[in-house]
Amino acid sequence: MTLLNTLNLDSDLAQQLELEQQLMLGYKQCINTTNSLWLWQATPSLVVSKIDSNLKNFEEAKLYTESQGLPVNIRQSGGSAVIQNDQVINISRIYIQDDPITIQQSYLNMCRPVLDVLKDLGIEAYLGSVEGAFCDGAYNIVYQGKKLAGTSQRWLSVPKSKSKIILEHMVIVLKKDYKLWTKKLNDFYRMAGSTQSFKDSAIISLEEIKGDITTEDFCKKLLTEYA
Amino acid sequence: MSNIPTELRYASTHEWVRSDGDGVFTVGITEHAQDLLGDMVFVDLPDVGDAVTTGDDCAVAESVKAASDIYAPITGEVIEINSQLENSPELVNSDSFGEGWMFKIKADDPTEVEGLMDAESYGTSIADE
Repeated sequence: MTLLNTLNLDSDLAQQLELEQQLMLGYKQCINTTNSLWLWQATPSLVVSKIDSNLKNFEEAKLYTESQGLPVNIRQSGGSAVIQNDQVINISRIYIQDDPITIQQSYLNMCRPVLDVLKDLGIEAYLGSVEGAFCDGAYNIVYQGKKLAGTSQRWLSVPKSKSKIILEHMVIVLKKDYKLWTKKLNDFYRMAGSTQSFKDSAIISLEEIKGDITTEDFCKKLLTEYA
Repeated sequence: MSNIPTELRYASTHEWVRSDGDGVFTVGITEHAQDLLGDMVFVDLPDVGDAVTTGDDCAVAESVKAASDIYAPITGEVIEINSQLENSPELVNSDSFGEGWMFKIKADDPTEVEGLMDAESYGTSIADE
């Protein structure tokens, strides 16, 4: 596993998404052969999936959101919109899988190290869906019924091969004030013509569970576990 | 074991191809592929008129689990897309070989399809997945 600059703080969302895309293309063209993992934070912005970009009034919602100081970018992986800022940390992992693997197994591989780090910190988290949480899915990391982290994936096939190139992505909520951004998400979807709506009460942050760990220390533990 | 219709041809990336005559071929993803992906929530199709080359990523299937590329199994021009999938992506799950078809290609060389796998070969290829 190659750890790429391991911790990129205060980076530009568009650059991070471009990095993911370029790495995946590199694997597809056999330029990259080693697996990659890095942690990053982006300046305030909104990242949406392709589904969101097809909403009826997406362009209007995008313009409005950007007028509120949140640049909007489209990501490769699935799910729904996520606010990016320094109150969350992202993990991106890209690798080639030669042997058959299911999407579920891939999610478990992504989540297990995080669950182990949390357990070492005395936090008993588990995987599951959380009704009302942003970007909900079966592979959220959940603590006491609330969403602490979300996950998504993108799969590519390698030409003339059974191997897969897999992008796994996780966003972990670090700070309790992240909940305040839920209104921005709901504004985006309402303006885009979607009925999707999220509840801030469905989210929990690492700060609320264990306030005495710094972002840097938490990231170091994550990198150690993934290495 | 997934249903694998014998009259179709298959790509290793799990697309199926059916000849409609006159060099036109309908393309979709197999029952096995939709089963791996899970419940479909969105299908991003190519545009009619797009020129595609074998192996090009030309569509994206997004399920509740992950987004995955769909590849052109043959070279040609996209002449029709299944617009029903815009509002009903679940058709890919419920009828992957029928109403869940994705797009039609007018092949540059209709004989290219003969290079794809038949049902037996495809069945063997997915047996260990």
